[in-house]
Amino acid sequence: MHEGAIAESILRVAMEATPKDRPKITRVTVVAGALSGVENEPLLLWFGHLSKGTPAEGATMVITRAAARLVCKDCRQRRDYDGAGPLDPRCAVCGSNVSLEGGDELYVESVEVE
Amino acid sequence: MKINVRKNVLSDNDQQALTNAQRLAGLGISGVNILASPGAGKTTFIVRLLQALPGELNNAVVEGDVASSIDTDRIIALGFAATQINTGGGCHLDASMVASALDKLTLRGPGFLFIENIGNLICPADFRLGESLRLVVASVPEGDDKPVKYPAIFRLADAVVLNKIDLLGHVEFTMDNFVAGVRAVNAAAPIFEVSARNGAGIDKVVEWLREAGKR
Repeated sequence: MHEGAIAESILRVAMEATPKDRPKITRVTVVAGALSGVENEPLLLWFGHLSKGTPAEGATMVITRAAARLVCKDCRQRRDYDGAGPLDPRCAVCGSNVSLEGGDELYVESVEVE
Repeated sequence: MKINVRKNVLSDNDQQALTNAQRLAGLGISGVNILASPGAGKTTFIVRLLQALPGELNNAVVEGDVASSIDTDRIIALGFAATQINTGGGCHLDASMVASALDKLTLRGPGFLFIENIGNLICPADFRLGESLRLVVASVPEGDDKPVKYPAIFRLADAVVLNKIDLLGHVEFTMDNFVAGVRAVNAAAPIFEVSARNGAGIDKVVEWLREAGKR
């Protein structure tokens, strides 16, 4: 449960990105990888709570999930991994070992202001 | 009006981590972030490392716990430098907490600074502290499936330590499953089998640390 710290950072990044003459934030879009360790529900709750009294109060937060990929080391077969389902360390096609790639993204994609 | 930002959420923490890393590097100290679940044997493992590393090195420990200074007291009682961070409920250490802890230690190199993170296989994965090496400690009684259940943290490991191998044969644990799980999420990290309780395998970790610490 570290979404409080994450939400605080998102709020700071979003406010730093707004122009001085148009500070009121209406929407924040965040990209969170499947392995970023961030859950949507607590992040939304924390953002709503921490943004009170700031220019982002009432803003909508949109969280876009980015999948990780399991790639077979031999046959190169790729499948998406959502960070929550079973992670079979062996390839479903040829039985070789797979490796996990991507999914660690955690960034503020865009901010919309009034 | 839409503004494209594309900025890492944890960039402030990353920046502080970089400052910590530069401070340590300037003193000839290698920071080692020790990550594990509660009860994996982090503190006993760190004590073994401190005792096995050559005496001419100046090693120190930053202990992270939600509450208490039990681990720090134990390490100081054994004659090593240590300081405590209490997060009071916080589930991970961050770089600014470690910066404050560095101020409390008399840092001298060359040597290692072991940072024992909060016992947690989830949250600490996101927060860099200024370490140059990350060790993830798993233990036999936790089961052989931990790497595939907590892929994010095992993926970050520079080395994986499997502790409590003295319990192999007494609990359900299949080494091949554990190794395949680590390899699925982390192609390169060496896997060290140790018993912090009886000292088995610690020499191999020390050898690796001394090599990796030079890089």
